[in-house]
Amino acid sequence: MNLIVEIGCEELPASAVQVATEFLPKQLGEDLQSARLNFEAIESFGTPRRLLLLVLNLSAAQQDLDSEVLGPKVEIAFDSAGQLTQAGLGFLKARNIDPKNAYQKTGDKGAVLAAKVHEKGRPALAVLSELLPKVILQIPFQKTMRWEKSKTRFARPIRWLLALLDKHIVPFEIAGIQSSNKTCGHRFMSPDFHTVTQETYFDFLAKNHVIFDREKRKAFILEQAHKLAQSVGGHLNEDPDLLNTVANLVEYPWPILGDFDAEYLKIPQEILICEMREHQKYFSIFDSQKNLMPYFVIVAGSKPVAEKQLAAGNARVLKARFADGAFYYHEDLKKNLADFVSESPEKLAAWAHKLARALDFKDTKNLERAAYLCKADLNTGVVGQFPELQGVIGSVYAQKGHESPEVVQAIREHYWPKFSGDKTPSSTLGAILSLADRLNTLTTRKLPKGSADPYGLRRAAIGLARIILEHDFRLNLKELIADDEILDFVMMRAKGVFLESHPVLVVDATQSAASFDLCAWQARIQALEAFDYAAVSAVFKRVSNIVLKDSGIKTLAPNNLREPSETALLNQINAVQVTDDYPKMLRQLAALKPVLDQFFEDIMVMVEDLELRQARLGLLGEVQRKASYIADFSKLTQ
Amino acid sequence: MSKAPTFQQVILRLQQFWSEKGCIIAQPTDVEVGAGTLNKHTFLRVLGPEPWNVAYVEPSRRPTDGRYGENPNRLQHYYQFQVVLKPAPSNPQEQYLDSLRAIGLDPIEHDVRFVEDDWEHPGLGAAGLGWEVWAQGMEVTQFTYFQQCGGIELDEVSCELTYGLERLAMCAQGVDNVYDLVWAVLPSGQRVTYGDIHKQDEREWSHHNFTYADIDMCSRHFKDYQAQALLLLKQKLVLPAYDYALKCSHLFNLLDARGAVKATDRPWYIGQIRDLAKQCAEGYLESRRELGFPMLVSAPL
Repeated sequence: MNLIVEIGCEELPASAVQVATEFLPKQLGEDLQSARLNFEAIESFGTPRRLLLLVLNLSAAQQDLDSEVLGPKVEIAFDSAGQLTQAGLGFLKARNIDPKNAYQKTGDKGAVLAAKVHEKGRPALAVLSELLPKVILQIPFQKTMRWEKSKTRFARPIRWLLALLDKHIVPFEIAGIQSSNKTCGHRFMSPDFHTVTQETYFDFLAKNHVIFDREKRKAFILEQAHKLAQSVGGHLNEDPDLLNTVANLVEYPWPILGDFDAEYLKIPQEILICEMREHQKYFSIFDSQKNLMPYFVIVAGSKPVAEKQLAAGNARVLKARFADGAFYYHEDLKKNLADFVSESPEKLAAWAHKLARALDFKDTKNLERAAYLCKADLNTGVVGQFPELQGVIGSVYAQKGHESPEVVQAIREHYWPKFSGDKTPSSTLGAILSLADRLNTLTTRKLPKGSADPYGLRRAAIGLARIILEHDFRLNLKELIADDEILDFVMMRAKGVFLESHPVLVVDATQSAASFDLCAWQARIQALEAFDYAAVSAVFKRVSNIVLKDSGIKTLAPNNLREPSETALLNQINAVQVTDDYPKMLRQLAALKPVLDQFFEDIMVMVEDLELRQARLGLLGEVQRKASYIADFSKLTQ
Repeated sequence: MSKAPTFQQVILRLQQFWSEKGCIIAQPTDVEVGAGTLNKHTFLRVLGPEPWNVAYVEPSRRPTDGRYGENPNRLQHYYQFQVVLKPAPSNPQEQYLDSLRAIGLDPIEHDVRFVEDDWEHPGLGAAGLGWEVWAQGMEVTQFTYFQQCGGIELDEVSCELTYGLERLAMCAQGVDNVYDLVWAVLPSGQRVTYGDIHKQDEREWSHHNFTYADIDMCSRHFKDYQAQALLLLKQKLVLPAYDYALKCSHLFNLLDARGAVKATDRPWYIGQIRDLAKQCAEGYLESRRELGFPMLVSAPL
């Protein structure tokens, strides 16, 4: 049998559709399995007005269940004649078991009353009518609301429910709405409710202007929007987040082209793009030089009656928005960027200086200026209206104020990376400023607990690690960050960055006191990963086991080593150079393996003779010391 | 396209439409408010179990939105049309769309959309879930299922529709600039525009809001009105207390426009206003309970 469920709602937020379409198939799948109902596939789709849940080839009834129940002890359940007592009979009666099916069974708890129970599987229809409302009301929406007497909570009001198991309606009720075999099409283009069957359902949606699959809505929008951009000789500013947003706003997207007065192109294009994107949800269009063109793409929610009028209406709204942006921009331009500095960012400047010293960065004049100006735009009118333009507006105003190109660039870049996968600053000045900003935030704000992270400290730490690595900054984080808790927090995030692209064994084994220099840590990870460590790690683990078992201080005492295997190892280990050329050092360590194998075959370390034992331990201690410069090999074997 | 309605026709038609749907046509409050929600017809009436269906125009003041009459659609004084449906009916979206049709706005032609927007007013301890309704990319209405008011979780969920009358009329008349809206066409054929009626106000009030509103006076009066509200609350005179709470709220907005509210003081002001609003809400609910919720008439059998 096949199941089609449609939950009809007033316009759901995009995030709610996302949560529901992930949760529903997973939860219903699990519940069907524990209800002994088999199925082939389960899928979910969503639009702002409906959530779809489809189950393919669902079995018609639950599998029967044979089980054994265990009851009270035999002494209680049976009398001396072997007949069931009142207690025994009571136990069976309470479970609706025929006394004929009862027997005695000896197990862990001694002899007890037992009985075989055969449970006949119920039809899928009956099981689903209990399961569906339960699963639907369990969806873990971030925010829910009430809207009617029963005080049921959901992301938005539910207005209809369709539930078809083959030809049958699965009967259930949520918030006063009874499930049925009726649905409706697009809100304006096909608003009436009609009876459907499993055979007609998908056809009905398609004919009545509902594209139920978000990926199809996205593909359609993108294709049309590209065509519209090309029609004016431009390129669509592809914006995946915006595409997601508009695809989740409507059931039947219809891109149309609009235009605005080219006069507005005098305002920085970042402001215009932000207005279009954030407030109006329009796509912007670039020419081949990435300059903004005076056109935009609106994604309407239905096929417009009069496209031109609709475009003109949208352009009117945009004009007012631009006028407002222009108002703030021109107000801001009455001052210099420096006039917006509310209080001198001393802590940030101190961090910048500290970093400049550690990295031997010479251009302190520009660094100082950039640190002084980089937060000034937070007090401008434009950033007040468009917080997402922080940094961008600062750099625009800095340029207008004839700041040096380095300062202009650093102001723009110092928030990078803004999100996971975003680029890091391209200039060294921008990178240092970004590090200073992050260190300042990390050391002044309270570390987050749980999932809430209001100051974005996790993101700050991840960005910090990425900048250090991508700019190959040799910094010792322990020397920079005095507070151990904050240092741990940062190191955890740095480790997370490595774990994205390296195996956990290697990352763990290479983490040591030397890891506070993230670049060195990364070099050890890369060297080890490129090396066949499996062949040598066992013997190094043996070394480390012996060395760690003895708590004494290990000193190398060459004079007490006389056996050929001892002296061979001594010579070989002395030849190993401690170097930051990790691949070279790894090759030398690997060459120790046959010598170590021979040593362990010939030599007993833990001998009675104390002096000799100390000497041998000292020798292995030296092996351990040099090996651990690269990694703790004992962590490389599972 | 049919002839577009004048600004006053938009109001008249909305009043007609909602009165036919069973709403009382009420009148604005006579205290400065930032939104129709603050009128006691909404803020207090959504509390408790008594049914309440009402519609009214609310002149609304937002001092920081002043643009000296130079921006095509930002105003420091504008008009809202407020509808409260309590309890929320089973088809409020359809009723709302019909009201748009009643003023000549066809939902397809104007690409009407419901865009997620959870409304929250921390100063009033009020929150709800719903949408901003867009027409041709312009937000023309806030549509909210009220969940909480004055910090009190609501027994009956109300549906609140707040139309931005200027934006709606601009959409219906297809004009770019709010001051070009036709307010009325007189029998003589003379056209009176929104600008004729309000442009001078916007210019003068913007100067007042941003430059000449006396900061010391506003701060002083904030404290005076707050003390008066608290005294009235002690006497269980909830409705007068609420008016004084509204005056405090407006003074805070004025101080804000003057740039006289420091970031560090803001939470204090909001906290004081929220506290007053909360006490008024609790006091009102209590007073209605003492009266036996008189509007809670059971339907005839």
